[in-house]
Amino acid sequence: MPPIKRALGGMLDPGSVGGMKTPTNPTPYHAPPDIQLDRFFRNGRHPDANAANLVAEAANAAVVYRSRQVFVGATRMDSAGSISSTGAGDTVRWRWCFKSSPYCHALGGVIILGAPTSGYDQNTRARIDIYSDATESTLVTSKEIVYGASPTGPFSAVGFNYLKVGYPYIEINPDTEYFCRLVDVDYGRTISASVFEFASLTENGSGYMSMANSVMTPVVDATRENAAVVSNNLWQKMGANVLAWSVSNHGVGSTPLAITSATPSNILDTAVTTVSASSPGWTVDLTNCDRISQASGVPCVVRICGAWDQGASINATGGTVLIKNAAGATLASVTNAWSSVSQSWVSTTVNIPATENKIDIQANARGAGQGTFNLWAVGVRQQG
Amino acid sequence: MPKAELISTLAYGDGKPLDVGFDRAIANNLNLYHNAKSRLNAPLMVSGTEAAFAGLAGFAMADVTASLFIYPLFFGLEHLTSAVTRVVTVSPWFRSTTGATAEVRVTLTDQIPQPYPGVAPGDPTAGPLGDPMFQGRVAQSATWSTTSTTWSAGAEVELSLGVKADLGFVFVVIEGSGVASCRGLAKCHESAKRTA
Repeated sequence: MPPIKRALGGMLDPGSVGGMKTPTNPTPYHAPPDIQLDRFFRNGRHPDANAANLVAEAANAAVVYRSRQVFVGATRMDSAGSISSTGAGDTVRWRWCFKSSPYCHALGGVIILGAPTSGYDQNTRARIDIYSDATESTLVTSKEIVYGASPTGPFSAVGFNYLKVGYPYIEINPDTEYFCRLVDVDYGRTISASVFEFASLTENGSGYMSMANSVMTPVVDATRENAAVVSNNLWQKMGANVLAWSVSNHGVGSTPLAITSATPSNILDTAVTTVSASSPGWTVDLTNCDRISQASGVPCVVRICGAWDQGASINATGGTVLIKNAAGATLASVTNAWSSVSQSWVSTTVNIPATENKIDIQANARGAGQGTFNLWAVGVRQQG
Repeated sequence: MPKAELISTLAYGDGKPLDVGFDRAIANNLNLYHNAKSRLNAPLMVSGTEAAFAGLAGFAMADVTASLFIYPLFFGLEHLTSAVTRVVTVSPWFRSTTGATAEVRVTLTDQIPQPYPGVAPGDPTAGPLGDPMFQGRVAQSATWSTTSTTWSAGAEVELSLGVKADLGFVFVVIEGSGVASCRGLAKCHESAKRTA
């Protein structure tokens, strides 16, 4: 695992440190208790150095210690349902999209690899590819995670003791949307993965907010400005991810979900066409994730990776995805949004109620013989 | 509890007044960010035909289970203490394939488990993946059972995030008995801070 210094960035040049800030992180790792609002902030109270320190601690901690996971993926690990090694070269396993926070300077990962089921003597591995465009054409950077050859020679090595965990560290730019793939390389088998952000107020900022305020510290507006800027960025651009789904290919590599029916069907189980308590979906809790002005719920961005194969049909566009609530009402949708056999990410927005919600995702094409909608991934993130 | 709000540029700058309302709003925003906006939501549901999710015949929770999923989750570098804690609410999406009792167990742990010592390591039918032994500092587990052949989410259970490794992640291990079919966790979300 990268050392903590790399995770939180390096020390800032003293000449670049902003007002009422420090060049290194003064904030302890332990989770602080909530700031007592009535104790420190009410009419008649004088400016309080202790309160300023608590605000600085909470702001610094929010940025660096509450950074978010941007993707998680897993496949069955037992021999009945697990993936197999798919051969030499690249096999795309999962896709996801995210927008880095204003203070993000790197991605971290915890990647679990399994032993190969063929190609036992190959240098099996996985690789994370990061692109800057929705068609995944412009590669920004890549990082490999190596498993290597089978530890039991030319035999399948099944068991927890044969899993290997890799911890990639990938430097990226802040406040940038990226489109990512996790790829199995040369008989590699990725069992599961978590990818997350590392944030820093020195790599992408003019320092950490000072926690050394005392009775002799002058009361200056920079103290409030620093906290206000961080607070606004946290709420507009650093909300936790809502959900990330990428098609699971048990043993067949990078095959997308191929849809031909004109009837919307559940993407987790295409035999299900209605929303009910027994239809598979994701339950997310966005309680208190909205602001005072957001009467319609929590603003989110939806990114969907798909492709349209019109085949012999006359339909130049196709592919519809619907985001539905537990009552079956459509919260957001994209309709006939793809026009190429090559995959691309399309976008829409959705307001999700600031409560606990069960979300079903359905997809449809234009009907048998009218083209095929290939769906790879859907991601929903808080933004706005 | 008042909701969060954006802070106006009127709150700071030359000539701007020192206003307790802005200070209170900033502090409230930070509290709500730690307790709401940044909480991890990580339900993980896998698609595909049910044949890929059915448990392995002959495995019952009482002896050897089949491990279905193992995956990491990142909860941030924040260190939880005995005074300030968090929990994770989990609920598996599962059913019984036959109507016999199906069981699913979810465990949070800070280390990869080890196989049960009595199982032959070369057994390809999930012997080495059966009945994992959790050797981390602490492992939190919860078990669900059903005889229903209808898919549903199990009752919510809270598991302590005290198992989180110092570097911010846990491993989630989902096991199932022979007639259990499980697509993953329909619900998995982090709580607000809880003060002892």
